[in-house]
Parts: sequence; C-alpha cells; structure tokens
Amino acid sequence: MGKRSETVTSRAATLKETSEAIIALTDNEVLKLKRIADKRSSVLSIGGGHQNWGDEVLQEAFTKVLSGEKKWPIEKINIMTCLSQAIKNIVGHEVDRVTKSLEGKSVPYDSASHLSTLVDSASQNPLLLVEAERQMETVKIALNDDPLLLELIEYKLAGFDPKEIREGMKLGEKEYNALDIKLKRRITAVLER
Amino acid sequence: MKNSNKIQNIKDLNMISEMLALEVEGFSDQQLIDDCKNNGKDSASLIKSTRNILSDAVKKSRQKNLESARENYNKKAKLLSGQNMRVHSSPAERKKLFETLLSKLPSLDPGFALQFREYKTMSDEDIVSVLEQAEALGFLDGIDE
Repeated sequence: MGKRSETVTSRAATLKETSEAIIALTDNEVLKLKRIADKRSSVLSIGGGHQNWGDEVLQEAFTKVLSGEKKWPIEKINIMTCLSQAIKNIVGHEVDRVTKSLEGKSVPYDSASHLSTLVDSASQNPLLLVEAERQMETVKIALNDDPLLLELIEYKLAGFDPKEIREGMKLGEKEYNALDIKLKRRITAVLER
Repeated sequence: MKNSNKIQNIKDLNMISEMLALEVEGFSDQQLIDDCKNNGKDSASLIKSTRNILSDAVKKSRQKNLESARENYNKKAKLLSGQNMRVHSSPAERKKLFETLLSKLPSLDPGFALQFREYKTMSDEDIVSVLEQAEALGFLDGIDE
C-alpha cells in the first residue's frame, strides 16, 4: 500500500482570534514589540521629518494584522512572531522603496499605507544621503577605539554569518559572543543617543 | 563619495537596525527591562504608549468590521424587503402572480409546474409559501413586472 499523503493546511486566524490575542499581549510582550519597532525603524529616521517612526510602524503592523492583510497562521506561529514579521516587512518595504527611488528605479507604492506617505515626504529631504553617511560615520567612530569591533561590523555588513566571522577573526564561540554583545550595546548607545 | 556609496550607507544602517532588532527578539524579560534602563528609556511609559496604539488599532478595526457587517446587513435587508413586497401584496395579486408563474413554469421547471395543477384549491397561505420558494429559486425574476 502506498504512503498516504497528508496535506497540512495552515489556517489563518479569524479576526476575532487575532484581536483577542493582541489584546491579551502581556506588558513585556508589548514592550518587546515597541523596542523591536524602534530598532527596526531607526533606519527610517535618517530622512528626518518625523519623530516617532517606531510608533508609526507599530500602528501599521497592528492594522495590517488586525485587518487580515497580513495573515496570522495561528497553528504555525504565535502572535508575537506574526507581529514581528509584520514590522520587519513594513520597514523592509519602505527602505527598499527609498533606496530604489534614490537609484532612479520605479518603486511599487503601497497606496493604503499612511507610513509610505510619511516616508516619502521624509525621503525627499535632500539631507537624507548626507545624514545616512553621517550616521554610519558616527557608528564607526564609536567603534574606533576597538579594532576588533570595527572588524566585526565590517564582517557583518559584508553579510558573513557568525561561523564564518569566527573563522575569519580566529575567535572562539565565547569570545565571539562577548564581542557581539559589546558591538550591539555600543551601536545601540550611539543610535539611541 | 559616489551616490551609490551613499545609498550603501542606508543599506548598512538598515542591516544594523535589523541586527539590533533580532537581538531584542531574543531578549528575556529581564534583559528587555535592563536594555531600556541602560539606554535611558522608561519601560512603564513605553508600555503605556504602546498599549494606547494597540487599543486604538483594535478599536478602529472593530469599527471597520462593524461598518462592513452593517453594510452587508443593509444589502440583505433591502433584498428581503424587495421579496416581501412581491410576496406579501394582496391575496388577489398573489394569485395573479402565481398564475403567471404557473404559465411560465413548464419552460422553467416542468416538475415544479406539475405539483400545482390543482392550484385553484390552494389556500392563500400555500400560495405565499410557493411564491417564497419560487422567489428563492429565482423563478420570479422578470415575470411579475
């Protein structure tokens, strides 16, 4: 007898399930989402024009998930993962739109997005490129006193994974992890100053 | 510096933002609180402001769903009231409509017509019931105008 093939379908949560799960988020989960949105959207702030990018991104993420535009496969992932994905997609889409537009390429526009309108008005700021350059300079200056941190950020920006970086920098796992934490703390301090 | 290098700065900053966000995703509750404290953020006020955004989004979503449900209800109610107008007119009008229906039925559904050969003995209540069924089946469309 042949093997019975089973198709596992991923059910999308109903709007009721989604709003109940969002309302039931704990304080720490809410805080985590806020911090994730703030960190991810810090790249949007380089165009200026708006103070609370994290809040704008969060609002858009909640709206997309609650409306079902971003589906929540309830049996596969929890609501936190779904909302984190929504935040990532929203910021990723906006960064992609801005960089492509600066490269002179045509960009699909999310007409339903309030955020896109804000990003567009900010990204028309002629200081955008100068500001991005200034921020990257600031990050590098903050790491300047530690050649290992500078080397680590260069590896990361070049897209190497942790294993490759450890091999390239000849670091053990513990040394790498400690250096990685130090790098993130240093950059966070610079970007959130 | 070339423009493409400047655009690369935006992409690099995006990668750094991504790296920091991924770190937060893996934070324990205590690490999360410590991270806020170390960066001069008041976690209680962040929670409060984020809950406001969340509640606002939920409220707007419910209003939107309610509006959409109300719109659907109104559409159905309009449709039903249209049906009732035809079916619940006077007994004489209903009988006339029923006769018209029967005259057209052989071409629509011979089986249906055959059931009502003795319609002259049918009560008004029975006629209403048949008209309602005929309406639901779409048999009344265009024949009672």
